[in-house]
Amino acid sequence: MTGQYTSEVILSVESVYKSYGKRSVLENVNFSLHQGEVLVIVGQSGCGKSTLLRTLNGLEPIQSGDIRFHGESLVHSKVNWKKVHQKIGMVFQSYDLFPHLNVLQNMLLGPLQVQKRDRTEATRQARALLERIGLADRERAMPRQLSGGQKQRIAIIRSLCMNPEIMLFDEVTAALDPIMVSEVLDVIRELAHGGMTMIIVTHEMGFARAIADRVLFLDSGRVVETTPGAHFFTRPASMEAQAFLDKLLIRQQEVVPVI
Amino acid sequence: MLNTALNLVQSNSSVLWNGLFFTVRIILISLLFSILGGLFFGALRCSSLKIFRYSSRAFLEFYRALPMPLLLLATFFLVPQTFGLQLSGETVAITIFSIWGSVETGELIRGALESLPRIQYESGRSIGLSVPQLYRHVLFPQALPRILPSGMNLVTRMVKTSSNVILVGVVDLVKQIQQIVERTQEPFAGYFVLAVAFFILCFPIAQLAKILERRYSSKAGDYE
Repeated sequence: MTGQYTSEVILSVESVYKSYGKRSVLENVNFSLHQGEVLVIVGQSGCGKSTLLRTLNGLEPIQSGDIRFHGESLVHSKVNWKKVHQKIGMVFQSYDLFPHLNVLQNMLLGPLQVQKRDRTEATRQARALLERIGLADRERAMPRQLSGGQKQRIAIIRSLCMNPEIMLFDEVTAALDPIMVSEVLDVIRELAHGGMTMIIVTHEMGFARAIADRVLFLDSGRVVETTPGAHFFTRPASMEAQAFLDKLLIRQQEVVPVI
Repeated sequence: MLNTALNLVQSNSSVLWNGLFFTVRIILISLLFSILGGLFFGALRCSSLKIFRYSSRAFLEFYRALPMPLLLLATFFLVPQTFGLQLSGETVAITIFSIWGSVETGELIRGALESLPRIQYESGRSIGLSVPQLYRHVLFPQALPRILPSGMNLVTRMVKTSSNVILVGVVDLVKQIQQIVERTQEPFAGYFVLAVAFFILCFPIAQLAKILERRYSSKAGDYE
């Protein structure tokens, strides 16, 4: 939890409905994201967390409602996605590096092709970011030569190379083994402390608890509560959230034997 | 017979080279157009617009259903008659082979594009690449190595199908041999030379296909 966010709303989600055919996935979802805020979305698998995140980036169309980025609607056909995608970065669960490009080429594709930036300047930024995550010596490596954790960290800084205003994280540690999870979470934590605005979908409750300014709890596509991070894990407002947390707690006890 | 064949090659070398030249030229030009047309046709086949997808599919099925001699003869005789356009046999052959090659290459490209993980498309989009940029920098570079082996097979098919051009009066290697056989009355030696020539054209390509297949199939596990 960073606690440094301002009252300026940069992204707002208003009465969003989404369905796949007859099955509704998101029902009347409302929330707003403030400058510098870390919003963590939690809920059971299949509750619509990832779908919600993907609607914010134009990867999933919605049936009704509105999503506004700096007051401008992202829900009509004339949205300048090229511009918006530069401002809203996203990292996915599965490794999304381009396998035919090396680390540096992966990071420079957006800055050079989309933003038409100067190669020297963009390379300097990419190298500085690699330095920060301790992978400065891997800039020529191909993705297949990297571990899962390294790939995810590079996917994160590849997004950062675009200088986004918001970062979206879609279960970025779900495919990693436990040792790699923490190295990826450390990068995200450092970003949060740097004041990056972000929305994180995660199953890592300890991490969520440590980093969330607010927690949005989704259940069957509905927002059940949006609670400050400090409160959600100790005294959630809703019965559903309480049940969800209890279930997690029991499962954790089953996994870790008490001696 | 081997001696006869060698004699036959020696005494007709300029004619044979000439035929080979026509055969190879038709194939090379058609291949070039096929690659360019194939990229375009493949993109059409994958388009998000139904009209492009369905019309290209319809064209593909139609074109595949018709035998090559029919396509060649129909173009050769009907186009001049209908449009008053004089087409040489070679132009007709190159046109028909190019369209055929484009359609088949397009299908290979479509298959390769569809085999790429969806995440490649999404993460390319989410760093702001436009659709043409996405194809150029992310999707095609990954798809093309995957089609090389089957692409090579397409080339050998094209080499063999090229023998159809004699129907529209192009004097290619097949026609030259035919004429030599008629003149010398040495069918065995003549057609033996033809067989060897086609083998020499196709065998290296088939071998290359095998090598590429081995190389890229061992890399196929890179996607997780």
